[in-house]
Amino acid sequence: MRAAMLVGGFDAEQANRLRRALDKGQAEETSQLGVEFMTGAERGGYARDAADLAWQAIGACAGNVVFGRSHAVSLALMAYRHAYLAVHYPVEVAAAAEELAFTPRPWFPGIPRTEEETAAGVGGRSADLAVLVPPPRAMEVVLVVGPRGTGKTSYACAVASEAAAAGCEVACRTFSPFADEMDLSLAATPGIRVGLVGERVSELSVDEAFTGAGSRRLLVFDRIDLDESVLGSTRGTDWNDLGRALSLQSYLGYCPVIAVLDTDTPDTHTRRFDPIPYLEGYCDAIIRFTGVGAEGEAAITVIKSRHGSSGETTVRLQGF
Amino acid sequence: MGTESTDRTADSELRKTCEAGTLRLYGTDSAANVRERLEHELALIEELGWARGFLTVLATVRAIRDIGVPIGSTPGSSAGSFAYYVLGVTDVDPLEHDLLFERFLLEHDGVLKFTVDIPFRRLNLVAAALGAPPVSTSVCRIEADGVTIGIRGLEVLDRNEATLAKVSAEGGPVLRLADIPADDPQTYDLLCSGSNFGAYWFDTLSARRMLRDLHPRTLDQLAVAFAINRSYFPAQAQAQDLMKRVRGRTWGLGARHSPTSRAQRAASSSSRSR
Repeated sequence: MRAAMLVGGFDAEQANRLRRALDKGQAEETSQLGVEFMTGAERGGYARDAADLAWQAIGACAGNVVFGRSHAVSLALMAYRHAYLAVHYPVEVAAAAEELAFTPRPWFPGIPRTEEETAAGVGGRSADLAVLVPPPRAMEVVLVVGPRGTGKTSYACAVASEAAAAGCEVACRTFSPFADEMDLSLAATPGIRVGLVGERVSELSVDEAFTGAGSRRLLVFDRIDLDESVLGSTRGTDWNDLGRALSLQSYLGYCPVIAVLDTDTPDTHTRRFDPIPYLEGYCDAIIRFTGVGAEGEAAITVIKSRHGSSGETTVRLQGF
Repeated sequence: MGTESTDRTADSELRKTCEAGTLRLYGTDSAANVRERLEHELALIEELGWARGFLTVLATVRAIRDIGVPIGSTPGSSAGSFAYYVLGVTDVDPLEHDLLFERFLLEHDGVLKFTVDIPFRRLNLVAAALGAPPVSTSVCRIEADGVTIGIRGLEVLDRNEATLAKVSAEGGPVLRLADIPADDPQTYDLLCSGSNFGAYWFDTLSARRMLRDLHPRTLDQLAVAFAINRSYFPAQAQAQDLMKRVRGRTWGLGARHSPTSRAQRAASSSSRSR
């Protein structure tokens, strides 16, 4: 609008007509306003070439979502304030996020607390978290998806073992104690802590996961099933909640995260929605496991990679 | 809307309230552009018969604050109104950010609409306080006299509210969102680091990459980044090109901080000095 007013000499009403015409793809109206724009520019002393260039730049907005400046400033301010709190009060932000995880909302019943948790008042207190925040560094969230029995957990175990052998402190969150492949595979491995820290990503306390023994950290979530008892959601778009939770854990722990997600869980989400489009924005890499051969080789499709590569390949899994 | 005499009363009341707000914000020596902008808006509001609508919006916002619910933001074009700013309805100064009142006026097609964001979990509390039925979605709509008011629940505001409560409860300062300075270098450092997980709206991979490249250091630049990130790709490419030109030689700070380019700069600088 401002460009049309400055160069084409439009008044506010004309500029708004142009905004609407471009937004709604009204070719005839746009063309008519184009004539008025060029006339106004000529009257204002602009060279024909310069006016043409300005008109082209304005026209490039056609059909695209174009935000009003006031809308953008208003919402950017809100996002900035949230970031400010994360910078200056990270422990309180983390505690608030945890508290909200227990709070019922229309689409989310809230995570039920056990009697012990209720008695201890766990959740939502900064003191429960005691997060240490080192300087920011690159953190990556890797999502491993596929049906059950395709080698996802074995892959995560292999990565965890390798990281632990290289001096990295690894914390693995399992689905249930002593009944999970990851637990059986890794519980006795030096340098790896395996524990049941709840079925939900948001239940993890970072200080519980890490002792500070390693020079680096890795967080592994095994079997993030997406039935309603786990995610507590009834809407497909709330896949984003999972993405945010993973990002938040990475943020709180300042560490890479590997999340293993079953896609054949008999729940309403996976029948109706493909999780990838919703979670893509929150993950740096996504690997889909599609099957395991007789030789213990898992077939994988790299959907998204931090190196930009993608395609089908196989990986050999240890101890599968 | 009301009769001619009630409209005149509303015009007069709105003017009085706006002048009081201007005095509170700017003191007795407000600059000429402040007075001009207010006069310009009040004249248009009067012409359109919107004074009662503005007062209704003000009353609604006050009612929300009176029950202890913080106002998060006012999406849409409302931030373009200086009258709303001096009334305390919004906390974005349209003069500082060069926002057009005309954009606000023309978007509404003769019907005054207003949307305000509040913490999601307070939505039904606010609905009850304003006499509206409970809602199961994230928006509560109230039809007032000539005004449509939308009250939107946002979870990020739940987080902010809960965080501020914890800060003060655990011995920290008593903060309001409006008290947060908009020019904190550490916050921009985080946003531009590419590692800003958990920073609402800017924590997706594409947003993180874009912030790392654009390197915004002011709220206006952050707003441009926000608009680009929420637009479709062709607009993003065009806008990034625009941003490059606007930023000129300071473009690409993130890339220039890499060891290789720093070494290259040092080499280039020493060769120049020789």
